[in-house]
Amino acid sequence: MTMKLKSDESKCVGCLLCTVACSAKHLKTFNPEYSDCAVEDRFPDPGEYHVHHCIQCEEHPCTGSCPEEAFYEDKNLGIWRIDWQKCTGCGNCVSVCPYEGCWLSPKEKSLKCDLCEGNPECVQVCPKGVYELVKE
Amino acid sequence: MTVPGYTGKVLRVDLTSGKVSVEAINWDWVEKFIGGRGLAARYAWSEIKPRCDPLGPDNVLMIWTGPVQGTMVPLNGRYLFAAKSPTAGGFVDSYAGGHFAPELKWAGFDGVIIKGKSPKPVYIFINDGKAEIRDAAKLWGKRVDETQKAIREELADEKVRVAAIGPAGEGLSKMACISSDLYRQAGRSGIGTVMGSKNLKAVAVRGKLGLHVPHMDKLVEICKESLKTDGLNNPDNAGMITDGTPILIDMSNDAGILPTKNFQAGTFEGHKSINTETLKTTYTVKRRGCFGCVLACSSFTRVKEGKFKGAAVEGPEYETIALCGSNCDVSDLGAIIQFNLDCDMLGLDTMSTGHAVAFAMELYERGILKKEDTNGLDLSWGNLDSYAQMPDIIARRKGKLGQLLGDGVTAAAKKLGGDAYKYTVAVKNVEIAAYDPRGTMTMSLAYATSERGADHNRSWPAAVEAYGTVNPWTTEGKAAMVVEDHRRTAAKWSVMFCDFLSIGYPAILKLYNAVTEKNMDEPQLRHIGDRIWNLIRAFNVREGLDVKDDTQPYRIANDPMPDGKTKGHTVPQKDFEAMRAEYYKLQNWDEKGRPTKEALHAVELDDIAKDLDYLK
Repeated sequence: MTMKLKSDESKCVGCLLCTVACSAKHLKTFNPEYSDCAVEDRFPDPGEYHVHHCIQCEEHPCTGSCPEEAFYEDKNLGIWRIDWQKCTGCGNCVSVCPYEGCWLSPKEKSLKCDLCEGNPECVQVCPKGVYELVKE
Repeated sequence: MTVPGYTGKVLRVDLTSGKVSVEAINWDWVEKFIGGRGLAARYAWSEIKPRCDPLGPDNVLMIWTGPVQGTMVPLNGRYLFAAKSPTAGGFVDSYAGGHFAPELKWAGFDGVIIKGKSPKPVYIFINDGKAEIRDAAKLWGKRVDETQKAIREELADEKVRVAAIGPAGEGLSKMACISSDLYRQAGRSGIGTVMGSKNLKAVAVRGKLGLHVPHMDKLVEICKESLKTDGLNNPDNAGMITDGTPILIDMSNDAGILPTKNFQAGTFEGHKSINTETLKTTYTVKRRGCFGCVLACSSFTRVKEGKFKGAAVEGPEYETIALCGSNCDVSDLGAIIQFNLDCDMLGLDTMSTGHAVAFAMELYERGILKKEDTNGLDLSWGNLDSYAQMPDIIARRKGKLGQLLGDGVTAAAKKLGGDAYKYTVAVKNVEIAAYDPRGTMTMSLAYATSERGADHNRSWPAAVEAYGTVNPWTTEGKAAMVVEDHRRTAAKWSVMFCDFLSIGYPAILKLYNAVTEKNMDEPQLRHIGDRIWNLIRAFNVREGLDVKDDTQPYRIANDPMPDGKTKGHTVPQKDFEAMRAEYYKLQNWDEKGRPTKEALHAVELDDIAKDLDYLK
């Protein structure tokens, strides 16, 4: 079984609750800079939000790009996660991701969605149902 | 000492000397006044030199947040600017939503105190515990959207949040606002004028420090529950979720209180063209929420065809649609959207600007203004060609018309003399909100006693009188309602929630205590509300304001409504004065509306009482 996070950004209203819920869960801080999801505000033109996060893609080029072999497979969820002890913030994974699904935190560690042990905070707090956890 | 939820740091900027420093927040005042409105009032008392020129270097412009900003508490995306008002003459705190508030907390500050006057245009950049004053020569004269774009380019960071004035604030229009996130306005009572007087074009902030509390997991769980129970599933919030404030257009029209043709009537023939249904079906392209908001009450609208094609704005809100629409006999929402956009980007308060245009149109109809006074414009009611030019004329004080209207209707009437004052609908030089008191009589007391001039946010009896079941046409026993509102809003805006989160003391306390780990109860919070309200009143009294300024507009007392549910009604002056006297009595203020020594003692403001000459 593989779990994936999907989002429908047309429903997003830009409240950023997903980002602070994410950082609170993982790093005990309210801080979008340390969130594994991000919301880009594109107003007035084209007048929409763009939601970024790892979609747990099949090809996961991030894993092979890492010189430190910081990625490891979470077989329970069928996803790849990052070991921050090993991550040096080189940014290779960020460069190779075709979906803008990971990025570096201000402390230069790669941020990538780990699905919160199968119960993502973003899914729980989003008031408009933007996020959905899908089991395949 | 620290309290969870606060950063504990205040940024101090002296624009005269160019000195920037960081200091600890006054924790004693945090205990007594919480944050937001309360801290703004307490700092204003000590920081602002009594009777200073509001447009001089002794006035102080402040930014304040509260303990909940930047957390996951519902509807916390709110902050305020405060100063001595150049328009109303007393304390002003003006609020805005959007994303500036959390960014300031994540940058490490609860508040900012800006003193002095820069010799040249500047902006302040606050970034992760530090700040610098930067040159704004190239920004001066620019619209707010141009300013935000230029600042983000200069700082090479698209995530910088910008609060800026436009040409209206630079030119010291007393209707100038501060626009943040482009479309979020600290609008009323000339707060943008103060910023302009300091040669301060903008405050930009970027925060990557975040906010941490020791009991993170517990707080997150409480917030997650509250987002649903107090926010999304709270039936009192339903209208804000489905429609937002424009839902009030039809309700006001039905109640006969929709400002029409400069408050000459309370029903508008074209109301269906400007109501929430028309806005939603024809113009809204996206709903937007401020930080932490589960309601997303605001509509991003775009005009898709016609004369104003291409105009896009977050809004218009009810106040703008009413005061810039029906009040100017304009039933074209596209025109209102363009007008709203221009006001936001030029840095004009839409509410006061709508009044100014309606006032000029009425004077034109009455022959008091002629084409030679109106820059050659035909100011007939609803003339869209003229209407569309008005924000720019007013913001930049262009020609005779811009000179006349640039500081609002009261200043304009003084220049004109004669009967012109009869057509101004304002209190303390600030134009009233879009709820005509002739269909909700207690609104007249709410407008009169608001410290920053006619305003519906400190007390809003229209909710129960015009839209509810309380008799709107009696003043008897109504003052108590306003007293309670003043207490509650002072408390609610000190913890600092958005107005539109419909919660009472129990939910406010649940969330306040959850963030701060305190154990405050309802009597304590109500008491703090009373303390803050008395302090604000004391500030105004120290500035020379009293009963002579707590007035109602001539039209409201003297011109009976012509039609609709309110037909034949006024707010008789004697009824208004009786209600005002009752209000003062309930507050234990004297007949001039000044807090007594006992009133101040009762809320532990003896130190404030000592500074008041009339109590010596």
